[in-house]
Amino acid sequence: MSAAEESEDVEVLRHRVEYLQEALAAITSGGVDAVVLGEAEEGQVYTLTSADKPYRVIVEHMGEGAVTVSEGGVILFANPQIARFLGVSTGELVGRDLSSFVSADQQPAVAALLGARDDSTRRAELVLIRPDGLDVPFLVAATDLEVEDVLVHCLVLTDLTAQKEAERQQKEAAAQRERQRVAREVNDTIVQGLVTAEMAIDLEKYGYARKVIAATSARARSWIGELASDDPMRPGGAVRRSPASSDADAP
Amino acid sequence: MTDNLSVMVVDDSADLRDLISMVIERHHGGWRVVATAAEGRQAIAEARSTQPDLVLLDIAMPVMDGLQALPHIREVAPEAVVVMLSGYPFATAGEGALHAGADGYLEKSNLVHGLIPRLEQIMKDAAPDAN
Repeated sequence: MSAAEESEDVEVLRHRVEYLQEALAAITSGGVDAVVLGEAEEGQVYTLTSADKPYRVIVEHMGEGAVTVSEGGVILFANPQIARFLGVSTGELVGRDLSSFVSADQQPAVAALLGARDDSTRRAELVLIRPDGLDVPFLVAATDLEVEDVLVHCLVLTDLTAQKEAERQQKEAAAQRERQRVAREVNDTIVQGLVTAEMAIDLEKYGYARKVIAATSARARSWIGELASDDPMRPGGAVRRSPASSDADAP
Repeated sequence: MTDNLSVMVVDDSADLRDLISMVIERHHGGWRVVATAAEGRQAIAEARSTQPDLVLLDIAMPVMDGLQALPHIREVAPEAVVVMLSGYPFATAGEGALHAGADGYLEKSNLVHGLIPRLEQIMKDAAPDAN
């Protein structure tokens, strides 16, 4: 082989090495999903990235919590979001009993979610208790899967904190509107009765005035009774904030 | 201007309607109550048919309150002077009533002695040549 031919071979080999270095760099940086080795017709495909990677990425980055639970209720896998919801690390979740995050009154709901063995997806609202004592309400969707003949419950947990807070505020606003409406009704009843009685007295219709006062008093008591019915009198509940006016008894 | 007025009294209390009507009918100027109504919808119908000069319109009523009825009464009886009557003090409901288009606002107090003079004043103020 002449020096020129040797030089040409070296150049070819140098190109191949450079090509392989680039290929290895691409593989190690994650830029390659699969490699085909051999001829085009008979080539064998080697998958470098697991086919379930997209699913794993979704589960680990989705906004909902996700856990898999054994048939006996032990947490086998927990995604980072459920760990964030509960203020713990995923490591602290795995191996623990799901029911340990749930109060006694919620245990039947857990049992219902984990109890059935069918193809349906069961849904229930569940309050989980964080280690710091805070309650976190969730909508839980439970699906059963058989993985290599082993039953696994897959739970997706949607945080309902914001929704529950909005519902609480709506309820509070509705209750406030109702209190204002009843207060107006009481005010109207009393004012109407007093104005009528005043007019009757000014027109010297005293018997009529007495009847109006009695009817107004009965209606006002009825309204106030309705208002107070849900709030039984407690010790100290009848103490006035300021002394009652004594004008009515003045000579 | 304030003689021989036809008046409509709107209030959900039958007692108050009767007593206010009595006070109005006793007025020496020949005022007469041509209609009464217990709530807003009745008031609109009565205003349409009787075309009163003056409407005394309670604010708090069932079915349709006075503030809801006011624009409809204006529509069906455009010549009527409408005065809102209320158990609430002016600070609570007066501004809202005047803003809604009422010609006057009266608190429900001292009506036997005070109603007619106050209505006469409102009628004078509402007359086209008052200003």
